[in-house]
Amino acid sequence: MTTIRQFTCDDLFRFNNVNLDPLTETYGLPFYMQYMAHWPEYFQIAESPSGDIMGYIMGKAEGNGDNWHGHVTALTVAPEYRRLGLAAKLMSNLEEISEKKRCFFVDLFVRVSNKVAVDMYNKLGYSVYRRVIEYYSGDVDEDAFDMRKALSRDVEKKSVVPLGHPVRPEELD
Amino acid sequence: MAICYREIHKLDLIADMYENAHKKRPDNEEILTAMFMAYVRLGNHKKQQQTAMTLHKLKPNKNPYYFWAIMSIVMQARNCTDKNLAQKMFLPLAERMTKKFVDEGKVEAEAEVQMYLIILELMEKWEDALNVLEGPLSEKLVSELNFKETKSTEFYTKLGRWKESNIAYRKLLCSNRDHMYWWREYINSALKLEEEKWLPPDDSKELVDYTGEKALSFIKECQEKDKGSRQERGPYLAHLELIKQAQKTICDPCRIYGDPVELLENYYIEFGDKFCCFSDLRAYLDILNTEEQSRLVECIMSKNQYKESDGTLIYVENIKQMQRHITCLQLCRCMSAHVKLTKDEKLELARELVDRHKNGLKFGKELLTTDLQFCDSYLLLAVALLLDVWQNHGENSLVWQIIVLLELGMKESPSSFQMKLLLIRLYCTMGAFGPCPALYDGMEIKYIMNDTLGHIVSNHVGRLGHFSSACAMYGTMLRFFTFNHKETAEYLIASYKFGSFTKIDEFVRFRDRLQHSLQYASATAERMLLDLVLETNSHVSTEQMIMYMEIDPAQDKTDFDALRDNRNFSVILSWDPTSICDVEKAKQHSYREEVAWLKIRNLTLRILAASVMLGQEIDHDHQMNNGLSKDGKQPIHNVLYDLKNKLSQHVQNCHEQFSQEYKYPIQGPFRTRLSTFLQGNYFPVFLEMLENVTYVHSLQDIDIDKIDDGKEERLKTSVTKMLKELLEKNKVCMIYDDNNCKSINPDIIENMVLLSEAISHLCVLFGVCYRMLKPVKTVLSRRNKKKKENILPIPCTFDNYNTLVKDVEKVCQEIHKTASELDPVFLSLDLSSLNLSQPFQDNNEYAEMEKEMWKSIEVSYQQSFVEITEFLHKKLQYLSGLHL
Repeated sequence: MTTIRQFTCDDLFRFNNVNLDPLTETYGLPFYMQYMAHWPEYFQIAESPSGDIMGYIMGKAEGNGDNWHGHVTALTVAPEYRRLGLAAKLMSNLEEISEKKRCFFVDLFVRVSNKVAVDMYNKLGYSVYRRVIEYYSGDVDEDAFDMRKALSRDVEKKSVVPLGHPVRPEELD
Repeated sequence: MAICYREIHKLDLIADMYENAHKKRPDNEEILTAMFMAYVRLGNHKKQQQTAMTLHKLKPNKNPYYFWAIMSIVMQARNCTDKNLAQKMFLPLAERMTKKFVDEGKVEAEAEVQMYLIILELMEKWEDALNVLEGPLSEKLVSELNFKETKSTEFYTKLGRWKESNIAYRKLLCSNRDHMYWWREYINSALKLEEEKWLPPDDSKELVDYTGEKALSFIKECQEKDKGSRQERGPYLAHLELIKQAQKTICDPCRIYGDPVELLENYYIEFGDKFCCFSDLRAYLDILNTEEQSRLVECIMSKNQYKESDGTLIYVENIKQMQRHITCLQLCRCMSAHVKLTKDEKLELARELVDRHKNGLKFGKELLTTDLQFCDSYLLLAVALLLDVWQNHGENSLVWQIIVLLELGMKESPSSFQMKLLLIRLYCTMGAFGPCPALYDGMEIKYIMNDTLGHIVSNHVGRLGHFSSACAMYGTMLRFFTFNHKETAEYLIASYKFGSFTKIDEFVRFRDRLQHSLQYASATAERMLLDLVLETNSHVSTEQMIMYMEIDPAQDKTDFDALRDNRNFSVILSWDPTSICDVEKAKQHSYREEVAWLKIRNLTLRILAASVMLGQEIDHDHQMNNGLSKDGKQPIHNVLYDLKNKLSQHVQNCHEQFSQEYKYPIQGPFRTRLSTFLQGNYFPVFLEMLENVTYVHSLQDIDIDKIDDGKEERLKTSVTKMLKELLEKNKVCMIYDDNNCKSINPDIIENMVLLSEAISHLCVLFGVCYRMLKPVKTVLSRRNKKKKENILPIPCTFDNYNTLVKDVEKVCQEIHKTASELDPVFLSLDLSSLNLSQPFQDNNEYAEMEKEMWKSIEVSYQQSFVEITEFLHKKLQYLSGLHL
């Protein structure tokens, strides 16, 4: 059983059990605060009955014209709360908020190697729109999939028609 | 220019700059906006309000300016200490201003409606707030999911309108049956209605669950809905929640809604293979009495019989089965099942679990290094049992076995932060800081984690004599805190720009919480004390350091009333019942202890600074005026006198409160150095030397008439005598016999560090005396040289002081020798050959890891003693420059 609510500053003091996971990045305060200040409704946290933080999602709405869309910036679930469908629930909330904001689609970036995540997003209705070359920098740079799901406003699902060719990070808008 | 000022932290200059610009161009919107933001940075809400109103008058059509003014008023209400003023003046003003806009139909944006709600909530006008939510304005509230619904239910609850609250939460639950908070409130409302004996009117068609019984049928209805698909855990936990709440309000024990043992058992059957099952149930285990707990333990244990009748282990066949078994073990431990075991039974069970852990690794062969092994919990449970034995039966050799087991476990599960956290704790408990930086960095602890988790290293690094690591670690921590202040201000500004009014108060509180963090204050004090003594090998360098630190001895930098404890302990898993391991209680005690220690550290620093300034006073011309110097400050010797009394008094209080060492759980905080400091008698020698400083200062240009024989004798001998006693106490062996087996004494390092620190503080005080005596001596001897007759007598103070320094030098040399002889290399100790611990397992892997561990422990001890010796060497240089 879960409580989903808006992320607050105080949560930063207790999200260690989630963020000590090696794949969850801990950012500087400005990063979190920017999202809280600008898109508070898009930054949601799930809490367990005992008050532990189970996971959280950060997102935003951006773009012009028919590129107006919801974006998933970060999604993470603590190891002990995986396989409960929590990520799906957080995603669906974000989609619902984006629907309300009359967005055309929701998009996200994921490491091409992160098969578990790619499969999950597929299951949630996301498809690869394009590949972004060397999007993630590290010891070895890694490509990202830019995945998208059309929302109801995009009746003809134009936003998710795959781009035939990969792009470089600097070509992203 | 504004950017420049911001970077150098002169925020008030930014505001001044825009004020001037505004005077020149009063109708410039841009300047005014920038001015408003400058005041936001400063937190000057009054000025914010004025600026925003000027903006509003300039551009009456731009709503945001008007609401900036309103928000600024609300912030004045939030920040004023006089609650009456807030409730009677600021908030009503904000309300009137908003209402005016509402009535005139000028409200445009969602943020403006939110603003209205914020004000009404602060005024606790729940009815009015509900009216907003139910009226036309609510159409603007679209961003947040279910905002209207959840907010209005909140208000119903505040108003005690349980019927509406019940209806609303029931409706919300139909849309999401897994929402814990909603269940809690729903159940609460049903029980409240039952308490009030509320009954629906005869013709009512509303769905109100006004008794516990009715709530139960709704819960069951929700459970039914999931049959056949993925089961939601919510409705099952809601049943337990109902009993728990009823037990608190209606009757204890409450068994009318079902047998909780059965419910817990069923939950275990349904969800026992989920990792979260234990934490789901933990909060509901205390519904049961002791007898029921035993029954439940028996029940679930009988489902996990993994042993043949002859005792051979049967291994689980798959991951789900394993998790089910682990959940069972966790639940049983939490219901005190392990407490009842004898020492041998605990050891045997630990052995079994280590074995099961090893076997369970086969299920995780495909895992990435970033994944956790499925069987990690077996090992962690085994470690919990071994820790029990270590703590309760004092078997010190066990801790080495635990470390080896965890190191082995980490090789298989390199991302396990649980193991890393435990290892850091255990290494440090045994005096070895060496392996910790790698473990700490391996968890990528950064940014805000410096505040919440920094304590796991900062409590030890200096204590254990790893001084250079200490400087680096405190440096990183402090950088985070100083940056944050600047950064958070920018997001406050952003919140005004985006109209995220709900976040403004939150951000301000957040900034304060970081600014007043205990960790910040402690790290600052430790870092400064370290800088002051670590590299200083002469009194000149100390004086420079003090000047550079800009310490005001008359002012404590820490606002002790505002301090916040941001340390996070819940991250470390514990399956112990709170009767045995109450981390929250330990945290509270630890906080009091930390604050007491911090006070000692801050006072020590201020005393050292004041003393150094006293020694320099001779260089300055201090004209007194009504007891104050011309810069309006207390004369420094008065400040020093006050501080000395304050510290003495505080140490006295600490003796009363903290001389008994508190037993902290391994999963909880670590003690400070306070009790070692008190028990080791390090304070009296510092105080004694302070008395000498005061005496020497009182002689004022060495007035022969003021010489006091008793005090002269004291100056000459007492400090040396006390130091010698301290040294004798610390001349102990690293290895000692503990019930016929050899054991390591990790306390030695901490004591040697405290002793070295005591010496370094004495050096500073000697230096101060030197500064006061030296010029007088020079004048006297020059004069006596010139005038052969009428020779002035040379006071004995000089000789006595010289004797003191010489004798202390000798003691310091001896301490230096003692420290260098403790170095394992000097002792040519091979820890691994000393049989300090029996092998837990008889295999190569274990033996290899054990060897590696001893090596790293050895290296770490060596590092400590090398750094301590180097440190003392500097102090010897310091002393050599202090002879008159």
